Amino acid sequence: MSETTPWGEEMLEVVSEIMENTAFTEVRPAPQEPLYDQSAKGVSLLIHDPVQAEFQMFMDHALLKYLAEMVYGPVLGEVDEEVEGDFLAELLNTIAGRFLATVLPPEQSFRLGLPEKLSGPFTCPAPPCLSWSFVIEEMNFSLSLHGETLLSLAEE
Amino acid sequence: MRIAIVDDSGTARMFIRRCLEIAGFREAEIIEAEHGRDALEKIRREPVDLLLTDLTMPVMDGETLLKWIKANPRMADLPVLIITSAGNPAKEQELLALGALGVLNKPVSPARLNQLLHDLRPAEGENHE
Repeated sequence: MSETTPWGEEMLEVVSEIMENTAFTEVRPAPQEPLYDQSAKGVSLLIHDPVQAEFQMFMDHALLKYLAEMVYGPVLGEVDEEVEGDFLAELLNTIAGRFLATVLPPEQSFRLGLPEKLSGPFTCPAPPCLSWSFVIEEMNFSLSLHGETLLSLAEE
Repeated sequence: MRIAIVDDSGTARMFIRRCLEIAGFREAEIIEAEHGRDALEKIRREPVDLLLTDLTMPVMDGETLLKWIKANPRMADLPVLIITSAGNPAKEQELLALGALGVLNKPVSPARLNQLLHDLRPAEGENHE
């Protein structure tokens, strides 16, 4: 659960700031772990340096469509499946970058991989794993993070 | 004016192109490239006045592209604007030290792009062509 998971506050702050800035929308922690149906979209992102870890994100398709239209609609007009996929990848890239900038020392640069599409279900890919779930307009999205070198920092 | 947009995402290239149009660069000739190496090949053939590049890309990333441009005496003066979603302050300082004109965090908006280009290049910002 978001409230008790380590780095829960940091992740909520990062996600809230990004959603407010990109889609003018408010985020709150999910009261319980959401169940995603087959239409949910997922994306994965590796962190290469200075730690090795992986972020995953799953999102209700309705929420992805809502956010992508908020961000790209006014400029591109039409938002299709490709735009939605690219938006999800950019979103995870942004969340991962801001989150690492928050939890790593300020002078520490980092290197991210390229986002890759994922298909469900939303589970921890390899324990130990942290996960956080959020709600926007009654629609859900979840993030997970695994990779012992990064997770060990949460215990410091 | 010729502007290169370098990003592995077709959506991002289209979005930046539209942002440039809305920001007043409607008459600019846009050259698109999918990664740093693709961009280098294209701008060697047809030089550009400004290059906007993503940071994380396959084949050649934006940082490597910046280093190649700044190391080449024929291209070293080309203004390079980095557009990134990573929000990495330490990396931003490294990129500026390498000679980037600026670092713009995604999502890009037409207003923000216009403001940055105008602030960074006031002489050309007045007339955008």
